[in-house]
Amino acid sequence: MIPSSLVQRVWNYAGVLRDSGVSYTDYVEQITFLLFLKMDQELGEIRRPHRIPDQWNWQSLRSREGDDLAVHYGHLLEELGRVEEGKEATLVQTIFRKAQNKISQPALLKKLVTLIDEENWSGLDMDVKGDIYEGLLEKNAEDVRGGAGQYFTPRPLIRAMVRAIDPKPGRTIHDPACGTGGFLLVAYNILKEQARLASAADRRKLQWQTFSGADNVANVVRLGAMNMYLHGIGGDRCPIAEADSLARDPGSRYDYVFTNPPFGKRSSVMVVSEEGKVSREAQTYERQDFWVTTTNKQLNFLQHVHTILKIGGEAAIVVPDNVLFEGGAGETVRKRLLNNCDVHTLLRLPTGIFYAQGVKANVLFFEKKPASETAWTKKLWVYDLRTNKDFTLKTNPLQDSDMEDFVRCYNPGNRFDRQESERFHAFDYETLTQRDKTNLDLLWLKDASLEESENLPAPEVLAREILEDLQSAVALFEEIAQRLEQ
Amino acid sequence: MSAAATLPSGWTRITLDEACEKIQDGTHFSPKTQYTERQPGLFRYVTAKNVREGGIILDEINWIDAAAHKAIYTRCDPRPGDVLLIKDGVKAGVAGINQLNEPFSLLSSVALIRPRRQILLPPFVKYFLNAPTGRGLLLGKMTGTAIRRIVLEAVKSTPIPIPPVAEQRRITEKLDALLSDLDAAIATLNRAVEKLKRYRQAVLKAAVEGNLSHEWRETHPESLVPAAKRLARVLLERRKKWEDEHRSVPKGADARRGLRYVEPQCCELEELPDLPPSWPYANLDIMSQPSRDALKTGPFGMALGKEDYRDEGVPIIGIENISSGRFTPGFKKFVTSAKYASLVAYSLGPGDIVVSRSGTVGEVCVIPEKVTGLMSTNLIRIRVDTEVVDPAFVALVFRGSKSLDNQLSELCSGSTRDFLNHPILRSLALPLPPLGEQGVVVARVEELEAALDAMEQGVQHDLRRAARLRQSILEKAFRGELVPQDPSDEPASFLLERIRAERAAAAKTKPVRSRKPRAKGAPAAQ
Repeated sequence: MIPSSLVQRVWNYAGVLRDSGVSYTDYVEQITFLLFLKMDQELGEIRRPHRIPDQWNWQSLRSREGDDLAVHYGHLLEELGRVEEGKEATLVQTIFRKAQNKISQPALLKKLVTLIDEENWSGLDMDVKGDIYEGLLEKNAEDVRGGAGQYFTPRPLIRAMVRAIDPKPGRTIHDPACGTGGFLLVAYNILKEQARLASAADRRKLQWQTFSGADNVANVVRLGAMNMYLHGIGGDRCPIAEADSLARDPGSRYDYVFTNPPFGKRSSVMVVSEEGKVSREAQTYERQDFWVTTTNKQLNFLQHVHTILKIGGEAAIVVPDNVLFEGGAGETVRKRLLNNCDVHTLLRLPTGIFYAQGVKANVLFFEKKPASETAWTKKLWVYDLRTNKDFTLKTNPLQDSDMEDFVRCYNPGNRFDRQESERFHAFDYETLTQRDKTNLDLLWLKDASLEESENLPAPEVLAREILEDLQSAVALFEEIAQRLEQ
Repeated sequence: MSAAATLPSGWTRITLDEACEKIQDGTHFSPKTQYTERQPGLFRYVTAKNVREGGIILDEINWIDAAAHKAIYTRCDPRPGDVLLIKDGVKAGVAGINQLNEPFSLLSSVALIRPRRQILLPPFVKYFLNAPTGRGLLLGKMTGTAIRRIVLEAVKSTPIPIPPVAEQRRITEKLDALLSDLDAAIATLNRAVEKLKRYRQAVLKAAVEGNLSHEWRETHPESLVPAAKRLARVLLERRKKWEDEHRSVPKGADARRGLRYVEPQCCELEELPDLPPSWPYANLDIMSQPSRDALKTGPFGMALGKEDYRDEGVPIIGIENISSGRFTPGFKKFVTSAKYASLVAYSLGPGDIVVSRSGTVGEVCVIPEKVTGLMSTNLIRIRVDTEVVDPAFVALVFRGSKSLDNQLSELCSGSTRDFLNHPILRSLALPLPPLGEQGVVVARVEELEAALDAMEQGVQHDLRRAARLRQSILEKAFRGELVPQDPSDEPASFLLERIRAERAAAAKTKPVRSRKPRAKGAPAAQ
């Protein structure tokens, strides 16, 4: 069966389950468990090493029915996800961590088991399996209700970021907010393509020793772990761990960091006082390696990425607009970053490409440098992919062709040899530091929807832009209100 | 803020003079030679127009030579981090921090404020002077009626509340973060306001080019008669109506009176926007009955003058009653019923279209139900054949068609003012959709405009709230309510006392002038 119709078949079933109260996210999770069990079974059948003990394997599931099936499934999930005290989670344990059966009706569970049972998944090409799963993840992200969209970065953007940085083989690549593993996967695919891998040893190194990631949401880590597994990345050791990257300096250092930290409000913790009053306290991370203590999650990720880079290491990180203009802690972080690193490229992203509404985001590219008296940043090149660009998730989604000009201007072959163009301008260090609060919110193109001109954008485009502006204003007001309450 | 207002714990209040090392203004003698371009050996000459809350703006700064600079700088030497305050002119009261690393000269329109950093930090002073609290104190003491001016003495005597230094830092850091976010939100809202205006224009444009009624055309395929054919039909009908009316008049009389049917000219179609295939272009002649009164200019000259105006009676309707394509009630001038009767040819009633012919030419509206009056001289009345065109649609075209706008500006140019006249009006090309479609377009535009009006109101409301929020954040800051007090901070008053004591002790110690031993019996230095 061709992959896309397989995705469709699996996905159609989601609709049936949704009517019984199983959300898309839950559905993808359950598919993950069952698929893993089935594939492991298939490995065993051809006498390849497999991981699941007989007591809890696929056969033990498919031979059962009704309540017996449901009960056994529940136990199976619990057992496989159990981690020994003090030990690192294995691949299986990562996938089944905190797993629960969300399908309350045994008959539906049986139907799902049958559906998975019918296919030979291992027989499918590695790429195909991976694509099917990615397809499911994408559909999951589209489901607004599930809220899983915030974990999904548009693939054309990821590909452009990786192509720009152009990682060399034999180095390490890390994502401290890896979500479902999109960046790691794309980097893997691109590196695999390049004919630089001479030996089987090199290929092993690429698959097993190159990639790592962390995320603090167990369910997402599960999906990411499965995603890696289906693409053959990581081998026995799961490359993705469940951890709060911001909590501490992990000690390890990486050659490349790609990441899209979650958007959204400042981290906060609900506190119940002795009198039973509930309030939110800002969650701060006090780290020695940080330049400044703040509740702003994205600023903290920026500081964290700076810490975990090797000297000479390169990073590409997606940040919202407010990292570029916020005063106070924001100004401090920007100043330090411009000094300690060569912050060489800033990509202003268009609206309408993320699942979160009204998000205004950017990609910041920088290279970590050794300690020095003088600032390392000489020139910041800004690419404006925002002004007069109109994308929507459904009718006009971002595509690889939309990113081509940016990658060309970036000039991965030699980023010191660049030309200015209509959308690509350089700003030198003095200009940047003269700006009030070292504000990096740089734009120069005229917005057609603000101009008196014959060529007005179509009403729908204007309406959408107005809505996005209002949404981002509302988000800012909410932030301010939150901070005033603290 | 009254002097008696209680201060938070750890805070004190003193005058700026006490709290600062130096408060001085720039030179009162502007150098005669100033350069506009940078050259080696020259120094910047900063005046009020270069100072903002965010710092010094470097474009449009003049330069002066070293000698002139030295003369000024010896007396007034701004250093990096000092506070600069505009004390003369429109922007008096604005304070910013000097971010330049080089020496430069100031004009007297700017004052230099250098706080004693052990007790008072420049960013805190800057925020205080810009906040309603501080600025109110400064501006309240302004003298001068022609030019706003704050005297140096007033600056020096301004009281400033002073928290512990660590708290000052916490306050300014929080203000930096909050206000930068707030300003970004305000900028976004202002952008939204601009875009709403464009959206309105885009809606009108879409309306008159057939892009709001796609669905209607699909569900009314019988209306899809090709434009030329429909136009021919309309012209035929028009002729028939005229002939029906004039049937009773004997032929000979026709010829004698010169009454002849005049076929309206069709429009020149170059450079007009494309319309749907069922929409021809037409002009006002085609859209109205063949009658001398289809277009009528208001009474002028002797017919209606100031002496005819009254305070009550039949209202005179003029340009002031047209606003954004809508009729706005409110009459100032009236005439007697008798006068109105004598000028009844110039009357206005529901369904009449009026267009302004001087001043802002081309402002249009339709007279609504229950409104009657006398046309003023600067209006032209248009009466259309309502079986051919809806007056509301005509008004819409005048409002929304850029090409009509262009036609008007090209054609109307009087000697001193733009003037619109009948021939010009007649030559304008307007789209003519089927009558049913016109109604749909008009309704759709009304719907969208109502939503836009509501949105605009909402945004303006938000902007006002944002401005109030800004004020309230700043007021909270200087009441000590923005960040919590930390009991471990040394209270400002203690610090102040210590510094005063140290200073007093230093003043009493006489400087050692020579190495000669003290003469016996002479008093010891204290």
